[in-house]
Amino acid sequence: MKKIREKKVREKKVREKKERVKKINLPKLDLNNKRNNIIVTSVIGVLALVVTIVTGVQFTKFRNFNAEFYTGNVDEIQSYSKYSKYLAGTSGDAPIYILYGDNNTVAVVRASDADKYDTIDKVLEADARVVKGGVVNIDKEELDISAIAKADAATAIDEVKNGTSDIAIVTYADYRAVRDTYTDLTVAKAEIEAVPSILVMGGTHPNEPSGQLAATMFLENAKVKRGVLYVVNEVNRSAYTHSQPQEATSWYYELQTASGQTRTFKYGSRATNTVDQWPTPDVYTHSSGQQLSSSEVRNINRSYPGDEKGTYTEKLSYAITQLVLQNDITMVVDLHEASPEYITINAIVAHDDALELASDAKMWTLDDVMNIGVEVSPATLHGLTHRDLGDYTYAYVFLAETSNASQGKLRGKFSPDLITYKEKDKFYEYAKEYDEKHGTKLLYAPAADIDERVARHTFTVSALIKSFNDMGCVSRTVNVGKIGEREGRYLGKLEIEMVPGYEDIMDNGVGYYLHDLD
Amino acid sequence: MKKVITIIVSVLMIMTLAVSFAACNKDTGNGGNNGGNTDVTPSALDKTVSEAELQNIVGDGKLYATTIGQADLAVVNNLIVKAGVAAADYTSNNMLTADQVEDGSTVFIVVGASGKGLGGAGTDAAAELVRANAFQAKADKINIVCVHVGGSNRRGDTSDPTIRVIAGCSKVILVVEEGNSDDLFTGIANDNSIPLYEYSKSAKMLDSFKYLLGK
Ligand SMILES: [Zn+2]
Repeated sequence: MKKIREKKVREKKVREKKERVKKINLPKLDLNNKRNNIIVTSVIGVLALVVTIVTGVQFTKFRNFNAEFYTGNVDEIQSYSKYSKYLAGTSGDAPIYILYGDNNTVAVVRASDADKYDTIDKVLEADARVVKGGVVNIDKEELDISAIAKADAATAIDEVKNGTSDIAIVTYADYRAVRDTYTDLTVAKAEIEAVPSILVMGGTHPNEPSGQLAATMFLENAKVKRGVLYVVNEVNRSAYTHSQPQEATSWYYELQTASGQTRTFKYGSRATNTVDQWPTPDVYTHSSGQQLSSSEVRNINRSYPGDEKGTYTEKLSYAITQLVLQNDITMVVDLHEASPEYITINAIVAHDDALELASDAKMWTLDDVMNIGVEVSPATLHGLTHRDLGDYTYAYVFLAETSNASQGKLRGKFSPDLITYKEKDKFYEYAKEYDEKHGTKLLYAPAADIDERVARHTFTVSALIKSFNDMGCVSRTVNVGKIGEREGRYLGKLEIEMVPGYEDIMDNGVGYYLHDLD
Repeated sequence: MKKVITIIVSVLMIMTLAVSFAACNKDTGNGGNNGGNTDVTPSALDKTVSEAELQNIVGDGKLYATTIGQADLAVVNNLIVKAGVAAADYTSNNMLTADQVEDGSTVFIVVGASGKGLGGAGTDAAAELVRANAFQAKADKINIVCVHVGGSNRRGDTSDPTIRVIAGCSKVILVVEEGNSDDLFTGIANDNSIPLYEYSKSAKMLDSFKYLLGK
């Protein structure tokens, strides 16, 4: 009885409300009236213009915003256009940061003589030199250590500067001490000492932030004792100038340095900006003949080895291939992320000739602190670093993946906290709990926060370096490749210090290892 | 009355336990010939293989390493070399077939499949099962050491059929524990009276490799 009464009361209220609404007399808008039509159209037009301008200004700001990086440890900055000339002046012409080892032995010459001494033989024929540091290539007996042999490095360099001698063979640290004042001196092209080198790549996909941050851990912290460190942390810089369409992603995220300074980083797109490469064909045909969907035509990691005159994206990958080839870089690590529901995650994918190194790093270093798999690069999937950069250079090439919720399809609302995963996403957490409870594999790895992801990547690179040193410091012997065979050779150790370890980053956070910027 | 029953049941349980422990020791002691349903439980984690007949199992025969599933062969190569066998002194071949192996040889077979690996090697799970069956057919003429290092990623529909074949015809099974969380390997070891060793990670297998390789 009571319920029926309540129902009637409710129905009455609804009726009354409807009547009230009816009573409001809306002014009749007759759009057939020309004047009304013009007013309405104009208002809509102005509103659209305002929205376009406001978002356009925001987007232009985003497009032009450059994340800044600390380069106090960097010895030399090159750019892509040095290796892929048609990129000059374009947004993708990214910087290549180079750090030379303190103990590398180099021949310092007058800048005008740099090309003259491009081989060791020519160096040996020169007038005077001082030997300092470990010389691997030159038999010391062969060296005509002249009167100044016992002089200190500074004196030797001074003598080159004032014309008393032509060459000073010193350590890179000795040269660095005078580099900025003696700008008319330079390092000769001849390789006085064979040293190993590594290229750390982040930002191949700007929606995979831990790759860029781990590369930045090396850029901003590394002290190279021996060897050469190359860092490219905006591999596809064009893809940093826009965002992923229809994903409603945040454009920026922030991290605090140890002193509390805020560092701002961009979250971009997986693909090259259409401003730089357009139109997009239905099918992307790679130089190998492989055909992929149009979504991959602006993906730099389907375009290796690249093409100087190809698509814009192929010009970018050509720059990387040439960088590795022309400098004979020993190892390359390309740092990526994938969504937690993707199968290849928390993994290293290695080119065939790099598989032994990757396995060694996993077994003897990485297994102690993390769960990580090693996969061989599929021979038939082309355009990826671990395939074609390996096939077209003499480097050991690796790609590593961490688990990034902001790339995934299960995620809820997007925010900078989703990027860093400092605020957990309820759907990914639900999936994780579901997997734990039911032994299923909705996720191949749970979503991880930025500290863990960067710690994994940074430590993976360090572990690969350690394995290179442990396994005899020998460059790659080419068994699988497209540019002919080559025997590995002894290069000595690659010694890079001050890079934070896994526990360091887990304990203190990534921000702690980012430098304050002036 | 209840008390009496409880005591009798307790005594019976203790006796059963004692018997099964004794049986265990016997099984892992001589690698087989256990006359009952007693379990071959894995040794405690990270133990070195200790069955006398497995020491230097290679003997004067030849040594091979391969993968059924196209994954993790590099891990076994790493262990073989670190155990003290020169790379030139054994054959590592990811597509090794049973008829390439001389009688009396020892073959380390890494089991567990990788999709990327299978695709890369231009083979598939069905073809790998054929290879596995051929090794099984020859198992009484060669020594098969079954190794699984890839954890749960190397388990499932693509991996398990070949795992069953190879593990079931091996002389000893070495497995990283995460890959045996459902006791698949334990079951195979039980059914076939094969000694099973579990490790926390692949690097912990090194001493067992040394033992098996007589180093
Ligand atoms: Zn990626």
